[in-house]
Amino acid sequence: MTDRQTLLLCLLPALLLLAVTQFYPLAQSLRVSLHDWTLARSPVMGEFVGGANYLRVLNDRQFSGALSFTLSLALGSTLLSLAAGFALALLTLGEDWRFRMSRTLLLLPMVIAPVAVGTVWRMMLAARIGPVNEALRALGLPTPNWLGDPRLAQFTLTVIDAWQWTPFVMIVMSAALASLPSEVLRAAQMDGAGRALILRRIVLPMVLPVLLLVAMFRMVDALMTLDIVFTTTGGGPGFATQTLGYWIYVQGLRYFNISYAAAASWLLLVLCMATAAGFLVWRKRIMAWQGGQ
Amino acid sequence: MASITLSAITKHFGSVEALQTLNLEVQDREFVALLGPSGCGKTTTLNILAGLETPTTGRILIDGKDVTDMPATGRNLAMVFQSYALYPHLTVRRNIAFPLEVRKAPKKEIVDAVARAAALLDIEPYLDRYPRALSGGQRQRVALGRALVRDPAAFLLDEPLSNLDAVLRLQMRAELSGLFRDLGATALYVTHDQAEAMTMADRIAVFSAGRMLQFAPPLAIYRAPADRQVAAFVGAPPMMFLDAVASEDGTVRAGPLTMSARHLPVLPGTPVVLGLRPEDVSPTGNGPEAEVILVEHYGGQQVVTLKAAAARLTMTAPPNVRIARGSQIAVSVAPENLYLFDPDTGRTLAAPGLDPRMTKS
Amino acid sequence: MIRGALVTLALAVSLGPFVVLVVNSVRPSDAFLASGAGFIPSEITFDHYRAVFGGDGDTLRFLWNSVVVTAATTVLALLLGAPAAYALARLKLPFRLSIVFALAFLIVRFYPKITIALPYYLIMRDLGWLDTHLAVILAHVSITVPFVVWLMLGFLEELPREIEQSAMMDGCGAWGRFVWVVLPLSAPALGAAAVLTAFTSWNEFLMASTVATNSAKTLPVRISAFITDKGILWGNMAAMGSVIVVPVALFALATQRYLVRGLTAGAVKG
Repeated sequence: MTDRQTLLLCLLPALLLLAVTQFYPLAQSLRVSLHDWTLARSPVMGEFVGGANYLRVLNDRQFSGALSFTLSLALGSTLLSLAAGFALALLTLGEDWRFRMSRTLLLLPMVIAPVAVGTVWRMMLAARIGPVNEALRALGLPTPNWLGDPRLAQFTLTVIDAWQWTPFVMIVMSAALASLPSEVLRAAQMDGAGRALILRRIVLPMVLPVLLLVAMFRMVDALMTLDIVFTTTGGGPGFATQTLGYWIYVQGLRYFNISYAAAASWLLLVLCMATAAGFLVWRKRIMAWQGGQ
Repeated sequence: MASITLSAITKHFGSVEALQTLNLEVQDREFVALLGPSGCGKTTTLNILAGLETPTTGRILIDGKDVTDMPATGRNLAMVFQSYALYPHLTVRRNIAFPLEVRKAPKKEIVDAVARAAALLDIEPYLDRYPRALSGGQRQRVALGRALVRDPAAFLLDEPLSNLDAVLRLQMRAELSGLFRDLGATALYVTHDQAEAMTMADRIAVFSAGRMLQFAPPLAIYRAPADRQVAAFVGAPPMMFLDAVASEDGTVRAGPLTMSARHLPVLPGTPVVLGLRPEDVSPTGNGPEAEVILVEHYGGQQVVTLKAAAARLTMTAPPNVRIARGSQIAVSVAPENLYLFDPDTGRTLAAPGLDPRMTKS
Repeated sequence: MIRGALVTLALAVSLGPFVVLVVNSVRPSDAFLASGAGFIPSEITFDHYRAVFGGDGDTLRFLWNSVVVTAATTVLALLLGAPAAYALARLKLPFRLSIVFALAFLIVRFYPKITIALPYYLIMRDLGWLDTHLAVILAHVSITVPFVVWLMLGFLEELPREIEQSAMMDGCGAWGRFVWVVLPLSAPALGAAAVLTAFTSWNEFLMASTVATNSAKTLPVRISAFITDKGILWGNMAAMGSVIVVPVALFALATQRYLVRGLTAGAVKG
């Protein structure tokens, strides 16, 4: 067997698996979204309806509610985790054992299952007996209903998501900062620039491409958020904290409105991929602009 | 060992022509150096022979057998890379044994072969070490050991000494020379160091910009270079080139310098390029006067830079002659040591090694 | 100094919930509702752990399911992903085709899995593989293989070509080079890929909950269903949470080097 044949054989199993377990279901999902199928009414797929499901979704109040919440959660969580993660990367920079240990400990929120994160924070933020409100009460401060008040709950979920994924930003930005050529920074110091100036005018532009890449991952993942909603609020109070992912889950796997959920899920897919593409284009532009200077 | 033939080989990388029509025949047991500056195509030639790259056109024959379509794994050639390319995760012993293990040779044969190679190259003490624990010179020997351990049709070496320091390089040069001679091996040796090529090779193939300019024994290349490029590349310090004109009296005039040539194959008045080797310039005689502007003493010899009107000359001198900057020296060159080149094509018109009766104008 | 104070604050915010979780898991039930009860319980109990593991808690089975799924996923993802990455790195393909293949692997990362969850469920139902380990494993492998490929690809492009060329000259075919030369030298990248795959699979919820309907449920699925209609059993919830969180946290601390390497590999290159 020639080298070429061997290599093709190496590639085949992985591609085959993806084709069967991802791409085929993806195509099926699209097909279903163009037909009429609700499991309650019939065990098989109904007739072709074109874009009817899509139109229904777009006119659904729950969809627009979920969409606006998902966007605000994605944006808020991304910005928050970028700021906090980058700040932590700067704060823990260095080879000192205390910084290294801090970096290690700080990564823990990211390694636990999002459903477990939801559970943990639900416990922490329980209105009466949660430790957060206990502490606030002890200090004489007001004790808001973190997960029970509609607007507050949206904010709370955004912060919880940021809490979980800030370590991801921190780790990547730490590596980016560590890989900066030290001569450039030294040259800036020799030129008389102070720390803040170096950060703003030299470090930030140099790590911008990495920052955008991290932002893209964060944003796209946040748009798909589902697990956390499950174990904190279940979408409530009312439907205030339903993300698109959660709403689609309920429609498809709880109420079995199969084609409706499929249409909505394809809209979400388009949203995610457009976001990813947008970030990549932005990043490329920034890198070209920087390279051309 | 085997003979090697490269027939009508060309190599294009997209629109870039890396090798123009190459015909090269290496005889059995011959040590051939591929010499040239960076990017001249010598390494590409080696890679094509090895099977690591495919030629755009042409055939490759090893011992008369056409191997052009055979992958590198089957050509039975041993290669020593510039970076040695040792397997970092294997001990020296397993590195050397690897080619035999791939061929599923019997255990006893492997053990014997490794022992022989290690003894030949003096690396027995390192057999159980890992490459990262070895010095450059030691790694180079291990790479050689890995090449020696099987019985290849030929050895291919890609600048194997260029990563060693100067002293070690000279030492290894002598060792390699002796080693390949004792083995009676067919070898192709890529280098940009003309001293290596001159001292080690039976024949040298000089490359420039994808073309093979000349394929001849070292002294022939030195004394009868095919063209100006070859002449410039071989010889240290390098040859000097002066624009000159042939005159009626059988001399060549280059500014204030007049040299008599043994034979002028061109009509009087024709412009030529005059080539002089520094070691052929002698400080005695009836030549023109030149002013010494720089003396470089190498310990074993001196290299003197002189100025005569606008022309600069380099001359070698023995170590114990005192030559002062600013002094005037009358220089001359024996007529038979002149090189003449065509100013347009660079072709050699006259050279010490060329029979005057055989050059045409 | 301010820097130290800020970092300590960050540590408190990051680790506080873990501490609360573990403390609550051993806090007696009545100590929860009495507000004004101190942070540190006056007595500890293991009742919650007993409840969660014994009786109809059945946690041990779900723990086992998670272990099986994660182990199998990690092995399979490496088994399929590493050779695929090697092929992509070394195969000379027409430009368009190599982009298509690379894109095929990359794209899986960027769409929501909810889109394929239901069709996947139907496929598994038609194959009769619902509620089996296999169904979950296949889903997890297909999600993690792209990442393994991406990680290994970056690493393979840094490997000096000459070592493989050397093996070629020594007579080693493509598979031999992969097994005897490339794999041993890829150990750190493989380690990072294995660790990240393990975490992803252990924590995955959506696909697992979709196809593991009863006996094949993994821990994340179990914990999501913890709200009983008797009201919230905080102690049990905390015990369950600790079972998921503490081992993972310890494992993360032990393998953090590989974790970090895996996460930064792609992002920081260019």
